[in-house]
Amino acid sequence: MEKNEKQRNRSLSNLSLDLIGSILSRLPVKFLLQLKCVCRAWRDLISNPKFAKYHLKHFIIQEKLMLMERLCYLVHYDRLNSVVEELHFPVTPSSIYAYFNIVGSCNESPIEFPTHSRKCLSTVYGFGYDSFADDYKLVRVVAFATERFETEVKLYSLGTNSWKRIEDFPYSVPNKSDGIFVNGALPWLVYLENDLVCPYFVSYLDLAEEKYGWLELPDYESGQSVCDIGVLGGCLHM
Amino acid sequence: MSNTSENPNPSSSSAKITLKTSDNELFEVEEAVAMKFCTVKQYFEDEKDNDVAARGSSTVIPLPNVHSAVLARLISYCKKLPQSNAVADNHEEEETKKKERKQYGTPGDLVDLISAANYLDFKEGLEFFNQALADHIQNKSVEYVRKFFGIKGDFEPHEEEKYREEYAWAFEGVDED
Repeated sequence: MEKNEKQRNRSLSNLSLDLIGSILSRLPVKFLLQLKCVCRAWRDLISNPKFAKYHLKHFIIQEKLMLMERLCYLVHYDRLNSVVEELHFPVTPSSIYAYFNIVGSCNESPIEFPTHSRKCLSTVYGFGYDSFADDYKLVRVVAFATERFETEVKLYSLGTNSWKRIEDFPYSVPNKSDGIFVNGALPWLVYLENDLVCPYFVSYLDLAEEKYGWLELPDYESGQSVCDIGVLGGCLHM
Repeated sequence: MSNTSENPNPSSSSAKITLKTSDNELFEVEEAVAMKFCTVKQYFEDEKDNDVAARGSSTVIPLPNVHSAVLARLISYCKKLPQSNAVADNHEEEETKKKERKQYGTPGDLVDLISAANYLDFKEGLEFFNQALADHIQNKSVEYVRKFFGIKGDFEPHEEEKYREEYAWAFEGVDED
């Protein structure tokens, strides 16, 4: 043992709350939810939107919220292998706000999903962070079972705690690729049935502008019938 | 030891800076290493501006909040720093990094390193040691974490119980202490 041990500051109880915050920010959301009951000071720290922002810097790539038919999963991706490493916990829709809560909201009520009257063909979701407005946004695209592939897109903003309808999805029904979030945008893979040469492309919703854009995919062999997109190291891959 | 190949600023590779710790030990450190500590860098630049240090390497920078044993470890960490904070690409790499972090000792040691890195405004080091300490509590129970940090729970029992019920799913799959 060093003789000057006493001068040193070895006890963990001497760490300032600021430092505790940066240590805790290295931990996954589910675990932080537990740690909220360590003591009041920690609960306040973890609930603070500033903490959430800081936390997000470490985790936006590794952790994402995945919504499937009103069930919500938190999924960890092994980044290089791009497979679902752990399916942590399926939770009911009312618990979605638990995740929101920890990433920076003080909402006290679960999100109510809006209803739609017509017969729906499929529903896809996207969830991401708009760093411009410092807001989390959940997007739902409903495709109706009509001949012209009509869609209805609603966007839930955590900041305003409300849904609003935004511009309809400009292309045909997006393929299922829930939960992908890259560079402030939610990309979906779109399939064009009448284009035999390059039937796939990516349409994305810019979360800050709330406007759509599209990306051509790099050349791929024509006649290829299966294609998917995902996130690798913060970039979109196909 | 020659450090020229890795030094981003070769012209200053030979310059040394002397740091004085809380227990009055003197450390002669390569400038490139010392400049990773923003607190030292700031001090050094202010001195330069004041022209007090016009005679070159004679400046001694006092670090009244850092013990020699801790500074020695920080410096040795700095020397093998390169990619230690890059995000792990896969599970295997993450395990390797975890092992590497484990080498930095007990939680008490880490508290010293974290406090010093924070005082020195040494960002990469702070992140690394924060993660090393976070590794110790990862997936542990609330009781374990309280004990670990020397914290007394201050919720009313019924409050805590209510919270645990509400978030029961978050409390599943905790490691044995």
